[in-house]
Amino acid sequence: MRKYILVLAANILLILFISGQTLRSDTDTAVSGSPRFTYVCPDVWEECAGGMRRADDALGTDTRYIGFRTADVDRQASAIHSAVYSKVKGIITGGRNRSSGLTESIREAVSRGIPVVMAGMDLENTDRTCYIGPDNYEMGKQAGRDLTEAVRAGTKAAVIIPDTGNVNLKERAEGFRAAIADDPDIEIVEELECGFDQITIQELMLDLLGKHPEINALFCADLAVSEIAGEVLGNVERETHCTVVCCGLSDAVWNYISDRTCFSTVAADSAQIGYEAVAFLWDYLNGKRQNTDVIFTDTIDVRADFEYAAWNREQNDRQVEWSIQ
Amino acid sequence: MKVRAEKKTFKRTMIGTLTGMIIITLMLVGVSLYSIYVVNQNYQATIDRLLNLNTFYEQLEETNNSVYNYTLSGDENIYIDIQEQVTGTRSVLQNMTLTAGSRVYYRNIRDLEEMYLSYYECVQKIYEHSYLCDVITIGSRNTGNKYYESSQKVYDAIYSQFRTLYSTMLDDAALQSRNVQRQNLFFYREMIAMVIVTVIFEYFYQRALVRKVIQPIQNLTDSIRGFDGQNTDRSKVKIGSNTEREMSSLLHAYNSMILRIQNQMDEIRKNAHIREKLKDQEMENLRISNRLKSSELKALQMQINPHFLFNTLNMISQTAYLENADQTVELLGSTAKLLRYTLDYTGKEVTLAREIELLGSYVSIQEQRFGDRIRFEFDLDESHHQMHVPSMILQPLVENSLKYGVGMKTEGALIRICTRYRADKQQEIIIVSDNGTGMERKRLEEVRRSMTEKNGNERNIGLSNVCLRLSMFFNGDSRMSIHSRTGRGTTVVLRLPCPETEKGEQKNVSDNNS
Repeated sequence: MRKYILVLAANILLILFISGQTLRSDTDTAVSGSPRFTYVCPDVWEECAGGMRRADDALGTDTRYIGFRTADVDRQASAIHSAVYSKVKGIITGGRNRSSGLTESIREAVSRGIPVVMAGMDLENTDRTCYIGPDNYEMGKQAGRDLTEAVRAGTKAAVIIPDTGNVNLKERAEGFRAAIADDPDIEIVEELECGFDQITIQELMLDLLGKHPEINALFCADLAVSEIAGEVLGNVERETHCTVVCCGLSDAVWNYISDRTCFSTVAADSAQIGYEAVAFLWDYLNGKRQNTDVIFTDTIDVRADFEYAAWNREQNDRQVEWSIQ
Repeated sequence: MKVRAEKKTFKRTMIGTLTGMIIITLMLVGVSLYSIYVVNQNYQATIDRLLNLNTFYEQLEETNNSVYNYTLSGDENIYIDIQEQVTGTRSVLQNMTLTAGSRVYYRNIRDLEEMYLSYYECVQKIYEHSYLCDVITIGSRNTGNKYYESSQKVYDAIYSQFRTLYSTMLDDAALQSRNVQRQNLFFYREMIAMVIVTVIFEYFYQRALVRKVIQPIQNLTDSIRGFDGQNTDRSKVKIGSNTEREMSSLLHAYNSMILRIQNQMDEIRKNAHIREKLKDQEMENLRISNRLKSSELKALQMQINPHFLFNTLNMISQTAYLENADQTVELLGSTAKLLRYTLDYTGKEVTLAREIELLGSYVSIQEQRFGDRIRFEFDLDESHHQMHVPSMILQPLVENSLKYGVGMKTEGALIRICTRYRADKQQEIIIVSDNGTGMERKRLEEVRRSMTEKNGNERNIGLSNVCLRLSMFFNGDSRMSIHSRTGRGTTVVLRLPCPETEKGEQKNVSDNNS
């Protein structure tokens, strides 16, 4: 009898398992009453959104994630307008590109009493409620310190920055310069503004390295540049002759650091940015916070011995459903 | 383990297995149907959401057109229509929130609802402005247009939201459709798998049925057919350790029955054998009894004439005595003794001494008859002559020697009578031999055969009579043998059992009678 019961139980479990696999429910219940936030990301920032989702789960907020396949400031502004019309309780966005439309939309939101948080990238001359992100100046400074540590005498460095008008990137460059200012072994021979388009970045970098063969150090002020630097150096076969310090961390950048193409990178804790952004809005709505200009989040200095896999898992432990426009 | 074995029956096994199969099949089918239902429900919900969204947009389009018309004309009726449309549209939005969906879906609908409210607020501003303006001026119209533009901005935002949502829902519907197809495919495969599993199960089930029920019955049938009552071990049916209880009981009962049958048949055979032996014994006894009666009859017949002769002899003896015929008197005396012996002891037992005494009388007569032609010698060991023997066993032997042995000899014939006792064999040996003509081998064989035949022929009836009576007297322990060679004479040897105890104890009836 026991044999039959065991066989029956095993079969029932198998059936339940199979049915469980096919009956995964994709329905939820409507969460009414929870404050609605909208995150309008210039592109798709998974780690930051993951942090926001963690905050949603913890605080009971409801954040919607809007992203763009290609960065488009006008569409970003339009999405912010839509968020305003839908009377959300808070908007989180990022200001990579200068745009009057974007600035206008942020102002409109703020004028209607909707707090706007700039996450990761700040914009000048907006009435945004708060900036939450890394201390860009310190990031640049850390990168400079890494370079002084890595190089010897006669270092010719180039600073590659996508947008000199972007306040965040400007601060990084300033920090970098400040860090190497007292080091006589390092000289900045060129500063290149390359934009955010990778093909453009690649072309300009190749030109730079062609014109300045003496350059043996690079500072990549943004992730967009950092991700292409290794490839460009590989194309000109100078990966071993050039010391590269970066800002931003991704799989591509980590590969460069692992194979010693890049010496180090300074990265922000993206998940923390997202979490802090939602938490700030939540506290703001509940009157626990007033206008706070800036909230700096943690940065990390990534070398070859960094435990990237564990850090990556932690950053991506939450998945969100993006509304890609 | 023993308790479990006792409870293990084929019926339980069958019921358990079938019940399990039925439950599993029902569960599989139930779960499959339920999963198909759920997937279909999800797909239906997605379609419903799409339809609702489409309805919403259509109504929004209609409302927006009405707003445009109202902005241009300020017609109150249009505004009433707008209000009804808005009510209807909000109702549609409300239905959409009630439709099952994901978290993102609910959020999108909420945003849409709020946007629509914002849109309606703009429309209301148009209405209020229009309502408040008694006179339409360029300025008031500009203000009105500004409110209209605001409403259009919101409308554009709603439209953008609608497009995004619609696109997402279309993707979702496509996904659900694939789910439905996958589920249907899974269901078909599951049915096929179930058929295969059922067939496989049926195969193993039938195999088990054959092994546990049909094969034992087949073995039993073969055993029954092959049972011949001889070899029990071959007829028994083997009972395996995994045999079900019902079959095991049946086979045990059969084997026990075989054993009992075998035992009974052995008993019957034994009894039949014993009965046959008894029958043979009875037949033998009957034959001996008949022979005895026949011998007694002959002896009785012999008794009749001797009485007359004895009386006659007495008379002759008296006459001879009166005539001084001494030899005649002696002869008559011997003859009388002979006759007396015959009268008194025929069919009875006598001592060997008495028998030899009789033989002496006989020999005396024969000596008178044959004179010097035939000589009789007695070589006797009288140590055991008190043993008992049947009467008239020696005279016939001597008579045979006279008749067939030395009878034709004209001179030098000798008949010798010896007795000896062999202590080692506890036998009294009596030898009657002659130096007569002897017998040819063929004749000798014939005589020997007739000695053992119960119905011997007339010529040999004396020897076979003596042999038979000796055998009956001594219960088959006596031996009588005859040896002869042509021209060398014939010897008859009697070996009679004579235990040492018989030497001394003498309650000899014949001695007492004499």
